Amino acid sequence: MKKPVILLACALASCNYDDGACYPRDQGGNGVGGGVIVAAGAGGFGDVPPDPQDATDPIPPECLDATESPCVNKCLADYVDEAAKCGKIENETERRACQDVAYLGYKSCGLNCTKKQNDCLDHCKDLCVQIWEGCTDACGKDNVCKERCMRELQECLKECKRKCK
Amino acid sequence: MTQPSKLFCLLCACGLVAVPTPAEAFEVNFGVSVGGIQVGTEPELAVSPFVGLRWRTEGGFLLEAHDMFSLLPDDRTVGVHNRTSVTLGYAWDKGNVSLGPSLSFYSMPACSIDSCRRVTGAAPGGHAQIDWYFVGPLGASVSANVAWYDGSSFMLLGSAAVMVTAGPILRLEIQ
Repeated sequence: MKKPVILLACALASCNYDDGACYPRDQGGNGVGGGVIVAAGAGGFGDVPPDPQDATDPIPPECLDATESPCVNKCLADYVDEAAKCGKIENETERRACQDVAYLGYKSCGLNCTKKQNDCLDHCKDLCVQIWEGCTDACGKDNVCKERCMRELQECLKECKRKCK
Repeated sequence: MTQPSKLFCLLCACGLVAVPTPAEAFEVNFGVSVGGIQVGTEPELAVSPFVGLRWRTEGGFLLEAHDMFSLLPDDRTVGVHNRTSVTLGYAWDKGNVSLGPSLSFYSMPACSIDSCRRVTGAAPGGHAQIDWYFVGPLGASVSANVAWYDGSSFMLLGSAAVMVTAGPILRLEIQ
């Protein structure tokens, strides 16, 4: 009941929230691709901590990648600390103001993380593609060689994801 | 004895007559379009029934309230997306063009690089539509919408979405 009301209230400014379990892109997407919409960059940053997953349904590693970057975790830890301090303030108005400031700090911190991750990933991908282009040019008409280049490209992209968390 | 509300509905139904559009008219139009929505790099199929209420002046200017409901199927689930827009435009005998703001509510799967979740939200945007009537009240409609998808979702953060659809349209004048 609360979420539809929030949606109506913030419709003019655009808002959204994740709603449901996370799953890897290659499970039930469209072929190699995935779900309906692909956001540019390395995933996003939420303004609230992610909901806990069902213990019987372990989080896929891909979902951990999307939500558990060290950078975002640092923001979250700082936010928890700040919110705890705010919680000790007796005056309700001051407590809420404190919590608002803590929340804005958390959101700003997280957005910076996302931007850094996206910049890192874009740069890394460009390098991988450059290497792949050089590799395929050197292969000429050798298809086996080109397949090897493609495998190397995939490995390179995976390495990007690891590096840019 | 016929109830007043049923009588009213009957009169409304009789008022829907497929005739060539007069200079000044109030009309309802509807149809089903097929197209795609795209955020980032990958487009996805959208099957979109729509309905519009349009009023046009003698000079050809028109005001329209338009609602399009889209089903976004993939192998795992189906996303839903409802867009309402209010547009201003210009009409002539065989067609019309209109443009205006829109507001979309959606609940659909969205993906980051390697993971997906359902994302629910609201997105403001802009809507443009061109209709061309080539057989009496029957024609074709092409619409385009650009909206901004942002919020607390991990999957959709600050993404502009483009949705383009096309399909048959039928207009009925309300007398």
